[in-house]
Amino acid sequence: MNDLLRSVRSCVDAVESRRVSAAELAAAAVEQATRLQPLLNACIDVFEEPRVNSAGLLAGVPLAIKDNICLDRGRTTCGSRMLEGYRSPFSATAATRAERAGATIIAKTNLDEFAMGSSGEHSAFGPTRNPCDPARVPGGSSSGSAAAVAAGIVPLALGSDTGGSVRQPAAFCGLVGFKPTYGRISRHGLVAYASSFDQVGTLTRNVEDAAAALSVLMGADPLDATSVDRPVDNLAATLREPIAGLTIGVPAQAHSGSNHPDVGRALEDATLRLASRGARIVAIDLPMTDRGIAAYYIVAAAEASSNLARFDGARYGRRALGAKDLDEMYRRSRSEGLGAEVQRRIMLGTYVLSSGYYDAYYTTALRARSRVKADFDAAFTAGCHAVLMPTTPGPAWTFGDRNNDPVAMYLEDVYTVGVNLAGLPAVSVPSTPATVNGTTLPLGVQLIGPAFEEGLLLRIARLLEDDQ
Amino acid sequence: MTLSAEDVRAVARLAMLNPTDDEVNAYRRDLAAVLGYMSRLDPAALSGVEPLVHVGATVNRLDADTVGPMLPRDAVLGIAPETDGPFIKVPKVLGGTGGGSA
Repeated sequence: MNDLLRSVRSCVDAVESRRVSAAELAAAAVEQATRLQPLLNACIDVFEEPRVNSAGLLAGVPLAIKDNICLDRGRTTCGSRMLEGYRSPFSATAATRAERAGATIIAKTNLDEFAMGSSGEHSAFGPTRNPCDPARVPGGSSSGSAAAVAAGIVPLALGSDTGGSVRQPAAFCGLVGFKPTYGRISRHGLVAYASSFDQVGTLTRNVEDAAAALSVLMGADPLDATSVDRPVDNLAATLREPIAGLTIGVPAQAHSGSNHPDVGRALEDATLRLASRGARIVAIDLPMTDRGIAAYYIVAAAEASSNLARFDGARYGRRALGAKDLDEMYRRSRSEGLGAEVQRRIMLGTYVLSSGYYDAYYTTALRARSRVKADFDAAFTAGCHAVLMPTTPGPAWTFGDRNNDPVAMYLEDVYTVGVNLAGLPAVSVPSTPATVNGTTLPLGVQLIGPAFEEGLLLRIARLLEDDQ
Repeated sequence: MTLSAEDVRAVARLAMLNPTDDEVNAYRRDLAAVLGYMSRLDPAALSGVEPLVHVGATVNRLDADTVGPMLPRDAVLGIAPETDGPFIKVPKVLGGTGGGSA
């Protein structure tokens, strides 16, 4: 039974051929989640009696969803004391679509508080551990979703990717992490962090499973005005179609001297593999790669300071007791309820939006954002079907390694934030791993495509998988 | 890049946060480090570039002016920290010491 939990396809096949029931699969996933919780802390809540679904493209697939995705039962905490006991009165569209396609939600997963973090260490519910090496971080902010798939609890988990929060933990845990084009998956019920970046994404063990999940999740939603009304194909059905004249751009910036040495080898192996499958590899230039981090953290913090103003203790969530007036209630509720990294980003965002600094920081960052997008557009216009680069500058680090220096933590996102700045689809695929002190640690390479080319991106990503 | 304790407290007032003295000192160090890193974005070098505000394909979507589904009142009141009949209750708005800086 536990072998089935390693792939969406095997779950669906087993349920449709009636070898096992959706209820049996769900029970096995719940049992795994409960058994591994003391080791990994991947889940915030496990549903002992999940609402079992069994018909559709995801028939009977046990699913875990990041706990910033609202569900109309259980808690939605965002990994924050602010929402410790919060029960959402409605479900996110992404969760509803997955359930209607036959998935059974068995757990809400741990995360960096309000999706702010790159390590899974910033949760009020404690850190998540990496199943590949529990002494190391699983990456973040979709830390629990990645850990749950990597540990074999579920074959599919939903995360959210604002600056790399699906792709980076996928790379650290040896998974496929897919972030679609901005607007492709409804964000209704995804608790907002930085609204011009936030996008729901998937964590799976292989590309085919990602294709199946995305076919269900993508599409317009009347409840999300930023969702895009474009046709969605059955992406799993087109996965093996050949790509004529495949051209892959590899940016000079992918070979940064500050990368772990094994990252260069992983990129080289991936490049050779694509070339051996008929791709033409061309050198491109993404000169804004480094400055993208500064642009991303300015704009994301600015948007966070605005979005998180709603957590004030008035209508829901934590309220500080005994305040003598409204102003004191707001300030004490927020100071007591929000964690250090969240408060730091709110402070940063407030600073860059404040009078006298707005143009110097915020407007400048938006100009840099234009440049980042223009660099990607130039690569695609020049004939690249996709851009290939590392997902991260190195493998997962040990707990506490980056905690004393916020800038060092932000620099880990150098290869992921550009995609969010430009609103593009991207997928991290497992690559040749790294070796650190004799331990093998997963690494990922990232493929970035033009807007709305999820199908093409999946077909290219499939070429990187071992079982071709 | 340096930030004074008063700079940090001014930002905290705008952000509706109450940092302790220790937190103010930590912010002076951390925010200065982050803002220092961000200064590598040179406003002069980017001055001719149009700021990118929306990456989305959809800028404005107009919906029909009709009543849609709403959350039931009991569901909304049920998650409020404090209620009084059909109302969400909060401490007094005027007459405190906060001074309406929101």
